Order: sequence, then structure tokens, then C-alpha cells
Amino acid sequence: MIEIRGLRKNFGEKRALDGLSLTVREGVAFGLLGRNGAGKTTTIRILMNIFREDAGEVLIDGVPAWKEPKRIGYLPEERGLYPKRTILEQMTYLAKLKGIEPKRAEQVAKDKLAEMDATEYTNSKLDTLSKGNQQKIQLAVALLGDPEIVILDEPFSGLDPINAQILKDAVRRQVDLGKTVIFSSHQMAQVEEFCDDIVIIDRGRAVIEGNLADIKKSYPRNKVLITAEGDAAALKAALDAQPYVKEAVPKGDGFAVTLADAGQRTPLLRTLDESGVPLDGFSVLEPTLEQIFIEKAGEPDPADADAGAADAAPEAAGKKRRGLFGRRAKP
Amino acid sequence: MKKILTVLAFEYKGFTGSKTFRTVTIILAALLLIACFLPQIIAGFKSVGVGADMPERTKGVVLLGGDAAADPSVAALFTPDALAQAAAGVAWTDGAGEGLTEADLKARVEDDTYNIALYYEGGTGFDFIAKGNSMFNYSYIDFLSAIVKQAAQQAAIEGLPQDAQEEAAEIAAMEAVPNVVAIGGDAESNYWVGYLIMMLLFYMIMMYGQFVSTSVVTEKTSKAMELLITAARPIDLMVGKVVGVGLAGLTQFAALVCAAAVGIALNMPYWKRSGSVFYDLFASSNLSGGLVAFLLVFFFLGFFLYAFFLAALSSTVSRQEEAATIITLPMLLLSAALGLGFLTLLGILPKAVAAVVSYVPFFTPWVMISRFTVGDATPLGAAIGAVVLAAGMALIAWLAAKIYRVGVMMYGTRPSLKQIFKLLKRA
Repeated sequence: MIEIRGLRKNFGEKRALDGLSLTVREGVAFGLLGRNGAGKTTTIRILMNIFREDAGEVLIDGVPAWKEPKRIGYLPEERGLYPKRTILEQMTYLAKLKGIEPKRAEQVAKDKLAEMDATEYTNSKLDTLSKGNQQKIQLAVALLGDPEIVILDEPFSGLDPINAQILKDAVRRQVDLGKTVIFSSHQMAQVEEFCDDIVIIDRGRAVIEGNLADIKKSYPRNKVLITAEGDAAALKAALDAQPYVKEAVPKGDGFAVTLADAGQRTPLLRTLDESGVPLDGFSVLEPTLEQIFIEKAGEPDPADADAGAADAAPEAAGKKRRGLFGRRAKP
Repeated sequence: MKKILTVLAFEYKGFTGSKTFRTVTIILAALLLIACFLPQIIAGFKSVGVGADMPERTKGVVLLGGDAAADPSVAALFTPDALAQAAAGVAWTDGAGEGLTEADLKARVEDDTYNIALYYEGGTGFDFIAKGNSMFNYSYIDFLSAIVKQAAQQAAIEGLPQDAQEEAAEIAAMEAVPNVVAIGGDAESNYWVGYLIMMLLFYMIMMYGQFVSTSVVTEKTSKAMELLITAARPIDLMVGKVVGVGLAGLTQFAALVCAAAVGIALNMPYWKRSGSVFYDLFASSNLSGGLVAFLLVFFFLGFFLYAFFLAALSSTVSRQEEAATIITLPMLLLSAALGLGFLTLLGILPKAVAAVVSYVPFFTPWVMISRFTVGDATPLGAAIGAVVLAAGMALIAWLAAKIYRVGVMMYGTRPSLKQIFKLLKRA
């Protein structure tokens, strides 16, 4: 179990973390969410002992995290390995640094490449690979030594759908193996796909934390999605006729219906059945993670709306802030 | 220790395994090997054969005129055999026997018939003719001066009354007899060895220190640093990197030394006879095992001190262009150190100043080598210097590891010294 208690971190005058506390249960996939600059990557870097916290503590099973480096596999947000060294050479090197016996390190690296379906790149140099394949290799490096805890910081940024799917499969395997996977992202759809528990960080603090399903259930359950065969107009008319239907908005093949009260679900179902509308589906419409996020952390980054553009946007924003010669312009 | 060796091996293989490194090493070794054949090539152009007919290194011609030519006792001092006995390695020819005049001497030196020429008419003055004004001419001038002085004294004594001549001859023959008690280094014999080691160390740091800087910045540019910091302690990464890269540089250097050694061994007869003063100087060096060990200790400690310093500075930047700027400081220190070393070797730097400066780690290798070479440092003093240097190197290595660790987050504009200190304090 990972416990973060009262974590504070300042960078000059900027407060990156402001008393963040959260708990990551063992063996779950945990989503670390937040807007750009919320403190996700700072939290991860403190956990990885890349830099120290100003206050607070990070514990893994009661032990300070910096004492347990071998238990964690890390895929950093800023991807990078040696561009001019072969993949096998680098992976063998990093395997040895992670404490794997030198005699076994090369074989472990080869096995991990095979697991990631990347054997063909064994003797290739990193800079000859596409971005997606580089990402695969980076993930393979993070999984060397089969760590109990895997931290993935924006793992799918910059990937096309096919490569993203390959990586998702690899991540899902880790989840299925019962590893603790901490998944930091601002791409809600992917977090929702993988994660059991989540925390939303805003301005260095946790604004909501817990099991995703429980969080969704905690919201009013007065919205339902109704689909019907045939003429949608008939269904719409039937819905409009009910006084407790506040709103019926087209959604996909049906309607998203907002009721005055969650208790009206069953009466509505009975009424629609009696009205003879050929119902196809009737289910409670839980809020999406994006909706929860917007409510808790304000408007999301426009990049969330388009997975393809999401990865370019932060870089573009960063580039806009740079001066003529690539230096950061003064604020 | 295991991780240090892992990093060391990785860095070492990274450099020595690269095509560029191997190609450059081979080319440089080949060029050096060819350069060692130069005396043979030059001899070939001068149509000089090998073996018994090979000429001596320097060809000289002596011509007497005026009173000197007329005085048999003076002339006896300037025969080719007499001059050869005074200075081995010069083949003298009697200019009068060749029918030369004073005017011919310049022309004969100009066209390389002779390397040096002496014209003496009597008294204490003489003409020494040579091409250019090489610093090595002074060795010939010195011994010729002694012979001319002897000739002048002899001629003056002959002009005295008979009963005074014997006493005058005794007075003229009086020489100071120094009893040289050399403490520590033998400055005269080992001057060139000390000079060579200082220059080698300077160039080694200039060339291979860049390797270290490049390696650190490459890790930052490629963002590999963040991953490495999570896998190993910064001190392991730093020591492994600097030693590994440093060894790669030393490997290249060793390959060049081997190439030079093979080249010189194959051409030894030509190097011995081609006027190579260097051969004489090194052949006469009084190198003991202790002195060699001393030189090597300071060489390696000095090299790695600067290598760690360069690594520390390179950790604060994230682009190769910035690295080229930031290593200006160590390069300036390096130049100052070499300058101080030379001044100490030449005896220009006051001894008290040299003594103090020789315990400043950035200057210790050069100044201590010089002090030891000229016999100004005791073995104990040198040992203390080595300890100070080793401690300085260890401190710089520790600091470099700290900066390397906080440097992982230094991207973009180069941080100021104040910012670096703040980050170090917090680290």
C-alpha cells in the first residue's frame, strides 16, 4: 500500500503540492488525475525520489518510498533513453542497475522485449525507431525486474491508435497480474478504462479520492439512458408527457433523461412499457469521469477532447512560451 | 561498488565501441606512426645511408684566422679531434683544410653542408654561425666559449715573463668544483620529463574532459537522466561515468603511445643520429621507480579532479552549446595551473608562493610535479600534496553527484549559481 501524507512542495514561489494526501491500495489500478500543472508529475517524482518533498511523507507499506526503489517500475513523462545505443545494450544496463544479476540481465531484457512483441528491435538503435516503438521499449524498461508497483506518467501521449492499443494491452496485463499500477494522465477515457481507484488533484491538493464506481454511485442517480426500436419521436413524445421528466436530450440512438427524482425510474419504466413503446435499453446514466473532473477541477484541458491533439497541446503551449532562440521567455 | 562498475563498463563500452572513436584512434595512431618515420624519410631525402656510413647528428666546421691561426698552441685546441672530445655528437671539419675562407662559412651553413660553423681569430670573441637561433645552439656556444676562454687565457699567459707563466697557468686552470647534493628530484636530468608530464596532463584534460562533458549533457538532452536517477545513486552514476569515460580517453591515449613507441623502436637508429636532442635528454633522465609512481599518481588524480569538475558543471546545462560555454571556467583554471607549473619549473615563481599554490587542488598536479622535479618538495610534502589532491577530487566528486541529482530538473534556461546552491541545500 502506498500512503502519501500531507505532501508539500514549492518551486520558488510556485506551490506545486499543498498538503496532498492519498492512499493507493495494493493490487489496484489507480488513476492520478488533474489538469496540467496540478501536481501529478511532481507527486510521482517525489515518490521516485527524483527530488525531495518540502514537507510530508511518502510510504510504501509503512517504509519511506525512497528506501524501496526496486519495488517500483517507472515510465517517466519525459521519455528518454540513449539514442545511439542498441536497445538490448541499454535494457541490459538498466536491468543491472535495477539489481538484476549481471549474468541474467541480458536474458531478462530479451524476455521483456519478447513480452512486448519488440524482439525485432533488439539490436536496433533507439533513434531508428518510431515514437510508438520507442514508447514500447520505454515501457519494457519500466517493467524490467517485474516490479510490484508500476507508475506510468502519461503513457499514451503521442501514440497513434494502433500503438496506443499495444501499450494498453501491456498495461492491462500488469493490471491482470495484480500489480499496483499508478496511471497519471489527463486523458479521462483511458483512465476510466483501466482504473479502479482515482484521485483528482487540483492546485496541489486532492479534491476527490476513492473507488471510481463508488464515486459515480455517490452522484444522484436520476439520469437514465433510454433507447427504443423504431421511431424515436414516439419515445420522445412519451417522455415529454411525464411530469417528472425534467429533460430528455438525444444521446446516441436514444435519449438521456433527467428525472426530478431517482425514485421515478421504476414508474417511468412501467409507464413506457404500458405505453407500448418498444424499449431497447433502460439504464442509469452515471456521470463520466470527465464530467466529474470538470465539476471538481474546472474546465479540462482542450486536449482532452481529442486524444490525437492532446499530446501536441502541452508541447505547443510550452513552445509558445519560449523566446526566439528556444529559451523560456520571462513571465 | 557493483553499480559503479556497471556504469563504468557501460560508459567505457559506449565510447570505445563507437565507430567514430575507433576511426579517430586508428587515424591518429597511423599519423603518429608515420611521424616516427620522419627522421628516416628526411635522411632519405639527404641521400644518407644506413649503418657505418651514417653521419653524426651535427656537422660543424672550424676556421681559425689572425693570431689564433698563427699560434700552434691555440690552434691545437681547435683541431677537429680536440673539439669532438669536448662535445660528442658533433663531427668537426677543419675549414682551412677544405680551403674555406671566412666568407665561405655562411654559405656552407646556408646550403646545409654544415650545421654550425666557428670562426676564431684570437682574444675572447668568436663567430658562431648557425641557421636560425635555435635554443639548442646555446649548448654548442657554451662549450665553444669554454674552449675560446681557454685559448685566450693560454695566449695571454704566453705573453707573460717566463717565471710568471707557470703561476699564471695554475691560476687560469683553477675551476670551481661543486659538490652537488641533490635532494628529491634531479632537476637537470628530469626537467624534460616533468615538462612532458605537465603538458600531457593538460592536453589529456582538454581532449578527454570534453568526453565527460558530452556524456553528461547527452543524458540530459535525451532525458535518460530521470530514469537513471531512479535506478542508481547519483554518486554511483557520477563516479562510474567519469571513470568509465576517463578510461576510454586513456585507452585512446595508450593506443597512441603504443603507436609512437613502435614507430620509434622501428626507427631508433635514425632517432639517435638525426640530431634529436630529445633522445639525449630522455636517455639521460634519472627516472626512478618512485619518481614514476609519483608522476602517475598526480597525473591520474589531476585528470579525474578536472573530469569530475567538468561533469558537475555539465549537469547544470541541457544543451551541448551551453556546455561549451560553461566549461570555460575549468579551462581557465587549467591554463593557470599549467602556467604556474612552468613558472615553478623555471624557478621564476617564488618558492613560498609555489609551496602554497601546490596545495590548491586545481593547481597541485602541475605545481607539485614541478616542485618535485626541481628538488623543492620533499617526499613528505609530495605525499601531503597527493592526499590534498585526492581529498579535493573526492569533494568535487561528491559535489558533482549532488549537482547531477538536482540537475535532472534543470532544463531550459541555465540556472544561476544562487539557484544551484539553493537546490543543493534542499537536496
